[in-house]
Amino acid sequence: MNIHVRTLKILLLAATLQLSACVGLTVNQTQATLKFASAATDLGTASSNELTKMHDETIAMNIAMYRLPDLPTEYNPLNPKTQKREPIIVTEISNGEYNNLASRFAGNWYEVFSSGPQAMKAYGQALTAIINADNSAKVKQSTDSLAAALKAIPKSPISSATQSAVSALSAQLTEWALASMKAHAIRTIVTKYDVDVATVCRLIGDNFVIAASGQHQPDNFAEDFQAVAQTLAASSKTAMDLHSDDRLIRSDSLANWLTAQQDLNEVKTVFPAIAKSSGGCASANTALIQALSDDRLGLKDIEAFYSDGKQLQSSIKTLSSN
Amino acid sequence: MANMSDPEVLPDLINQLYVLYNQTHVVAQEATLTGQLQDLTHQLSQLTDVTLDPTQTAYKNAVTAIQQATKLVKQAQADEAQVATAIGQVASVISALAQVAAAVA
Repeated sequence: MNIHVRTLKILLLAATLQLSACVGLTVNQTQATLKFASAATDLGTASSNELTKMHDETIAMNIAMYRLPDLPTEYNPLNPKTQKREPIIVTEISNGEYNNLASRFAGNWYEVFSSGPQAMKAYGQALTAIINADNSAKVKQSTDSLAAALKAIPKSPISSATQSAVSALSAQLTEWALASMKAHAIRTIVTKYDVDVATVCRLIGDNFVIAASGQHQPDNFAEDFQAVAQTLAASSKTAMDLHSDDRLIRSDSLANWLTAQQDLNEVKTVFPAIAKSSGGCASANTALIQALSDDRLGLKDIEAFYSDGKQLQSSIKTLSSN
Repeated sequence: MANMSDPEVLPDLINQLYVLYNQTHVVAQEATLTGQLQDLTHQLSQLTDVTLDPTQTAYKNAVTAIQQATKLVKQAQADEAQVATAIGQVASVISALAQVAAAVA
């Protein structure tokens, strides 16, 4: 055997042993990463869209409140039989609340809170992208160039017969190196930031939960939104009841009542789904951390390793016989 | 963190900004001024944090951490793409050397 080929083989085998010791992500770990990434993207997208909608709808409902006719002073639309207070709109105007029609869906905390779903969405998308990134075409192009360059050296030990084997072997080693890099990056990043992910998932979910009656949570976006919708619904119904003979008031109030009902329906259907999605994201995060701590190979990992081994053996055999 | 409840803090910061603004017209020490302005901007941004309670502050910090994690994942993906083409760059060097060797021979 040519001395140069023997040296090349030894170097390649040494590199193979080195790289095979650095395990990439197992099939189970890859699936757990993709599952978490999908859950994070879904939660981020749904809650981000809903927060924007809550902001816009709150403005629309508060504007609608100003279109309602004045109610008698003794009327409290939310509880007409037991309590009395002045018309809501009077209170709102005297408090200057028309300067902030978005109510709690504006300001520093709303801005900060809204950045959470966007961050979760971007994180999920980035993890999906790195897992699905396919560099095989670039690797093949590079290793083909390498084999051709080595063959072009004067008195090169690489023949036409071994050129493709050199390229295939280099490609496989590079793919292993890339898999190892990917695994290291994902393990390091996901493990380092898992507590932050859990914090954001939990607080997003908490803000889409309506507490049981009498257990109002302060600074809760779902409850704030529901309160605005309930006020509009009750005020609109009262206006229709009191002005049933006025065509303009009753039709206007009916439109407002329907808007409020739509938003209350959103509270009943979409909010629980987002809260559930938040729980799913937190669970997927926990499952991912557990999966990353378990490097045991499954059947599919062994099959993939066997396939790579056969390819490696074929490349080395070609090099040995030339 | 600057204390919003201290009545001296905000007027003092505004006064410093005003002084710096005037200095920009007479002193050509841009780097120093930029640094001071950045510091003041940072202090002002911390003032706004006073409006957040501890749970909200923890959430804000966690969001910042996730944004950092996202940057790291994207960087890792870019690094992978670079490694995938690195051998091709080695091949270019080998080709160039081979041409030199052939010319010398």
